[in-house]
Amino acid sequence: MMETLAFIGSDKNAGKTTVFNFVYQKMHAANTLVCLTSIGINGEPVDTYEGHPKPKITVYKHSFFITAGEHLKPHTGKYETVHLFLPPRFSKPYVLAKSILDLDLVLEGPNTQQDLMEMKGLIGKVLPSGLLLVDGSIDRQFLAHPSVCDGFYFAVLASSRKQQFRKANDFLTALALPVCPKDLRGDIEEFQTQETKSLLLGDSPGPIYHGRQIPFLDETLREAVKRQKGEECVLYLNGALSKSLFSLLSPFSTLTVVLDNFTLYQNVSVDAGLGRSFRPRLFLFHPVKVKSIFLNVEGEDHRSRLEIPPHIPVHNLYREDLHEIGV
Amino acid sequence: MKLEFEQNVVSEDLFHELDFSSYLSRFDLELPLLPSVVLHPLSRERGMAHFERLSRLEQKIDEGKLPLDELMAQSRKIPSPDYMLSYFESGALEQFQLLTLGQFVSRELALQELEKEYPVDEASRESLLSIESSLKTHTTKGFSRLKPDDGEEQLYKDWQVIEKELKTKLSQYEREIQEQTGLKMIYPYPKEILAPSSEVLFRIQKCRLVSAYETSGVFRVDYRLSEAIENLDREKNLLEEELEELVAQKLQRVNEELEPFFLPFRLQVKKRKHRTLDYALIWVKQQYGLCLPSFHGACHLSQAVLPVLHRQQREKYVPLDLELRRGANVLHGANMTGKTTVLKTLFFHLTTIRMGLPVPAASVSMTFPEQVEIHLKTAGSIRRNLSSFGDELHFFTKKMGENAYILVDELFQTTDPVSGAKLSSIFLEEFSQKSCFFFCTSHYPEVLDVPGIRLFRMADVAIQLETDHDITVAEWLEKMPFRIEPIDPSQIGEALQTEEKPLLIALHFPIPESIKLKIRERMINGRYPRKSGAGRSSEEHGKGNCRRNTEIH
Repeated sequence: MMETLAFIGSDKNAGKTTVFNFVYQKMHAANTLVCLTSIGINGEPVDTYEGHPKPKITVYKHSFFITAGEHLKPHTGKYETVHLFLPPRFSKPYVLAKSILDLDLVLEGPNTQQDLMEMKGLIGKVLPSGLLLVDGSIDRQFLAHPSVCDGFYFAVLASSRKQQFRKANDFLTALALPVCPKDLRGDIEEFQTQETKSLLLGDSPGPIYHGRQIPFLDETLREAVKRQKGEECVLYLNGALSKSLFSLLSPFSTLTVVLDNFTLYQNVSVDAGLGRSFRPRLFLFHPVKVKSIFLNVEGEDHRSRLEIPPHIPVHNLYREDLHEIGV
Repeated sequence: MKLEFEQNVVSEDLFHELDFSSYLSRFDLELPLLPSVVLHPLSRERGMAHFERLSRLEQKIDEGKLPLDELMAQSRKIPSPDYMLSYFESGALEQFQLLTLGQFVSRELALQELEKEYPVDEASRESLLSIESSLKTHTTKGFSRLKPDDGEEQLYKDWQVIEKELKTKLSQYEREIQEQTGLKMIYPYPKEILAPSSEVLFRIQKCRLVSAYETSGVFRVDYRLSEAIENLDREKNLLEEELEELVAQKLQRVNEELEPFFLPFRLQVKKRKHRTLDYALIWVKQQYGLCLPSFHGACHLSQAVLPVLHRQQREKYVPLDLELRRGANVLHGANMTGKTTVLKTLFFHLTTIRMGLPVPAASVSMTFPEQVEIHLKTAGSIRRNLSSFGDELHFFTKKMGENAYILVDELFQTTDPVSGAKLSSIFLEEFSQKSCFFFCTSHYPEVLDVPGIRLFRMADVAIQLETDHDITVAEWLEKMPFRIEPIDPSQIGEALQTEEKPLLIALHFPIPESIKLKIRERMINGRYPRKSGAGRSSEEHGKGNCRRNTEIH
């Protein structure tokens, strides 16, 4: 499968499209063959807070891209159709095309893992040595699966606004979570199926509970967890660690929580201090393969207050020498 | 190609039990033109014409006049144009849709070359050639790109010259900014500076190439493009607009040229879908060794297979040979000999044929099954406020056509044996005068005396009670021939001799010993020689080796 890199923003206006454009521009300048697409439609045309137009994605001449056919009308004559992903297999016609001129294009790509994987298979044949750049979204959890993406660029909004700042820190916390130990991983894999949404493992040979519904809606899971109070247990979650679930689990010091991937931590948005009262050990099942974090800082430099995971390149597109930033 | 039956053709329970979905999955072929097909029951005329067409097609294939493998390979490459038909019809085809149109037409024409001996329809060929010719005139690279004319070509060139010049000027502009301010910037990314020194600030403010302002304690430096760059950018945009207009006009011309061919194209798509389905049916038939039914005579199935059972039993499976005639047909016989399975196998084949599919049998000839009704033992219906007896009577209120196949399991065993036997005889007398195919199973000995009916029985195991008393149910089933045979009127007496097998069978199940004791006591003349320990239960012999477990009720 072709190498795939996704772009995720911690918040609205975190600068995801700017980062996407920058990385793509650098790759294009280095003659790297790329194909661009988006999960769903890429962004709103206007800034939510300030009302000014948001940056568009410019597809350079001779680049490949996938978008919904409906966005190509203004670009007639400026692209070459390479392949069509058609209904009813796909929800609408998606076009894999090669640009003849630079295009300011609305990208709209697949919304599901299955569709994206099928497209990747085809693009891999057209561009065997190419890279797929995906304008992603934090709420598309499938992007975090290792078979889907090989790396992530994160755009983080470092704002003086309290809520945004907390959101950025939660986001960074998720990226810094340790990967679960091998033996624990083996225990989970033993019982994990495609439908698994939660697994509660204890000393007994089988799972104490195997949930197949969204964890924060799963009352039986909550009851099962409560019954294990004081026992050494492992809770694997393949669904969002919501605020209510976070609060429920917080006092369980003998519990080890394993989140399937980093996107599941995003709904927590904990109140100040609450995060520190979370007593279970927290791990990630799938490691986050971070390529770089790009900070979009509002006002003074908040970097020292942000809990940035170590050993990850951190950049600021507005305050650094762009020539020095490698992608 | 995903095949489905129209809803309610087969009850959900039977659809699941007979595993129709697994049979339909044999037809799951990668055919973009036919992503899914919902099969509807065929009328007698359409059904017969359908299978006759398939037979003719297969004959051409067998004669080497149609290369099926090549045809299938080519059919797999044909894209579905369904999504763009409305655009085509209204003269609003987009550039990317021309690829679908071009690919469809060129591959359709290639298929037609392979089908010269048995063409789909030659009337549309001229239209297809016209579409292809128009597309080849206006597109390039296999219909993937609009072919630029001289004017457009010049605009592309001019655009590229300006683009190059713009890039040079922007690089020069970035260098000048660096020279004047010391800032290394890449257009279009602005720069933010925290607490710049007065010297830096002075240089930035003095530089006419950038603009700077303070926001939230940060100096933001933006670009102030030179007039030359802005002019180039404007010129580039104008060229783009000009190009867009020319290309839009061209696309409009292409649409106008193609529009007259829409109706023949749509008709050809429809015909191609039919032919593709036919190829797929023949291809699967040949891959799985299925058969196409013929429609003459009464109803004759040779070596008919019920796939779900065949999968379970593998080499031990006994295919069905059956010949029914119009009127009443009765399958008489002991328990666990496979009577219900015969009924279900026949139902599977009748339904499959009714839906237009080849069947798993060596040969089938019959009257086309325009109507197929089956009644299996039920516990009644609370919803319809019917007991099992009421449910069975309700079944007979349906209008039965003259070519209908009516299958009933254990006719009128839903009521007391005396009334059940009488009702069975009455209904059989009635159906023996009708032209439909009535086929039921029955235990009632009275039905054997009904005049004008065709009688069958399941071949049974000849068990020597004196020597085979220790046989298990599983072993018994192993010996069962599962073969249907007609009862000669002279052998009716023999058919009646059940040798108390139901009692004997009961002894082989793990029922309470007290009951077993009573069974032994009441067997005729105390023929059963063992007073205790007789009849090892199937459980004692291990689980899972019972052959016709659906028959054990």
